[in-house]
Amino acid sequence: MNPFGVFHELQDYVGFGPADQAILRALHPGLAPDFPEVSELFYARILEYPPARAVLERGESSVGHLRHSLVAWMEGLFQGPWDENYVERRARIGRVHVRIGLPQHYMFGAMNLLRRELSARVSRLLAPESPEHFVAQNALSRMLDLELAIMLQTYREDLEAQKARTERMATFGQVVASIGHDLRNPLGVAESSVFLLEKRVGTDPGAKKHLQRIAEQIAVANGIVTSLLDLVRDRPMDPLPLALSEVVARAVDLVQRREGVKVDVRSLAGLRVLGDAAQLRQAFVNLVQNAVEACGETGSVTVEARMVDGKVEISVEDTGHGLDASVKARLFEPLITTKSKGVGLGLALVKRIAERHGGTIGHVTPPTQGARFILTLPGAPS
Amino acid sequence: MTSRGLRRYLVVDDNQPLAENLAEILETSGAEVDVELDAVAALRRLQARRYTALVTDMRMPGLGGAELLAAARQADPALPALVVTAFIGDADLARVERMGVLATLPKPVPVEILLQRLEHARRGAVVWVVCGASGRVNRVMEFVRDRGCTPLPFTPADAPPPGPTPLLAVLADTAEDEAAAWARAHPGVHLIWLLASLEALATALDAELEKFEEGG
Ligand code: HEM
Repeated sequence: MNPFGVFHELQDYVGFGPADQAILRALHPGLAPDFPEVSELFYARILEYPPARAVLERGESSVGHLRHSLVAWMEGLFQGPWDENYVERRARIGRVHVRIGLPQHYMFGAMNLLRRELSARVSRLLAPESPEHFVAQNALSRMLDLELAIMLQTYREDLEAQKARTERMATFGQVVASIGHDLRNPLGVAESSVFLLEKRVGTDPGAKKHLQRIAEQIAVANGIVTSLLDLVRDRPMDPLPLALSEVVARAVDLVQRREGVKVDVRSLAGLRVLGDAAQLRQAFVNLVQNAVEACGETGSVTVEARMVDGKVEISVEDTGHGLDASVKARLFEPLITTKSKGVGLGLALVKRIAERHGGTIGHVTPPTQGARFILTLPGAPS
Repeated sequence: MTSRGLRRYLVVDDNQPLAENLAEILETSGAEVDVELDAVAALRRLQARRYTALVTDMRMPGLGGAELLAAARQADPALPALVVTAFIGDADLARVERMGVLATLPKPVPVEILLQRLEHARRGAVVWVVCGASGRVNRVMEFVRDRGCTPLPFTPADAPPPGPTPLLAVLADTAEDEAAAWARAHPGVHLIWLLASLEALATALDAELEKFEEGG
């Protein structure tokens, strides 16, 4: 159901009708002067509570701006019209909170604060024992129930969208797995034929060169198939304590780069991670290859690491142009790519590998222009 | 390595070009090779003669590789087998691992490994790998395979699989009392209780293999 459908149904259920609308409108002139104060209290409460404050700081708006937004929100609350547009605007506000990752349960407390503050002010406006006071409190209470319902509906929409994405991925996974496996048979034939031919071509350098090329290209094709299959199914892990510097060095060796791009590996000495060597190498190849490509003709890539609470945190940073806001949100989903060539599997695979290791991968915007990825892996005793 | 006369392999894959290529590669290494494109025909061959090892695909129309291996071991319990498959991660693959194989190789087939594994393959050289916590089971199995033996993995709680008497049993990652109980329950089996390093296993396995070569 869309938010308006929910609103409509609830309107009937809580009995919010034209009479309530008239009452809210009538309350507006008396309450409006207090809106800035209520808004002030609202954000003061959020700022007092560190986890909520952290969410606030994650958003892109200043608290000053948000206070104005909330005043406008209250203006709307008492003035309507409470039509489809109204619900759509409210749902948009709800989605802003979903997007910044505000946990849904904060909404109950937040709405409660608004209810308490507004209700107290209604009581100051109207004689507490009067019938007007009673119906006014009722109208306010119903409207806030509706507001909360719309807000929560946007969380639900988000869950449903996630579920749809997961299902799409599952279908995608099946198709990929079946194509990938089917490709391995012809690749297997081609490769074994090359192996047999290599023994026979003798010394003709031209023939040797071309056989070599065929073999290389088969390996490339097989590599793509392997990444795809790795992405869609769980590869068994063989975790061992590994020297990070070795894993990274071997990965960097495999990365192709332009003359003008430097890869600078720092402060890895002595760090050990618990992981599957082949899979971790793949993760670093993907991260460093992306970083190198982001640099274009010239630039540098820095790989460094440190130990944080028993985990090893490895950062891969480049001097490229950084990431687009639209890409950032979906960075680790498959088929998201910013490169002209590339299928967009690299980071998705890094994420899978990180998760299999009980680690994480994230992106932070560094103070410089480029992009920085942080991979966290379980540490191993040295 | 000891010389073991003519080596004879049976290659089974419904992909004819691949089966033929593998056969040709093996022939180049000096072996004699028969090729079959389906499991039923392969079984007839296995009943008619002894092979040094079986090389089979997993997914084939009709009988698959796992069924073929099960039937082949009925006919010839000492037969080493190596599986090649495009479907690494297949549930059936876990099944053949439990039946005991020299290797499960992906397609495209890493030819060097294929050759190396088959070259060392020893008929009837079975090693039980009895692992409690599964931590090292893969490494122990690779170790056993490197010596041309067929590892049969199971847990102390399982009944041992049918087939030839093992050269030895490796008890890995099991508590001491559990290992002792297992040893009492299987008096005829030469047992190695593996604590930390694979060193002890190497020595014992090499000694057993020497006896095995002399005896058989
Ligand atoms: C009843 C509860 C709430 C209401 C009515 C409300 C209302 C609003 C409104 C009207 C906006 C402006 C949206 C826009 O840009 O169009 C907003 C944005 C925002 N709200 Fe709330 N809010 C509520 C709860 C919270 C809570 C509990 C937090 C906790 C930290 C929070 C954090 C934010 C942040 C960070 C933004 C800015 C997001 C961005 O633009 O990046 N809100 N809110």
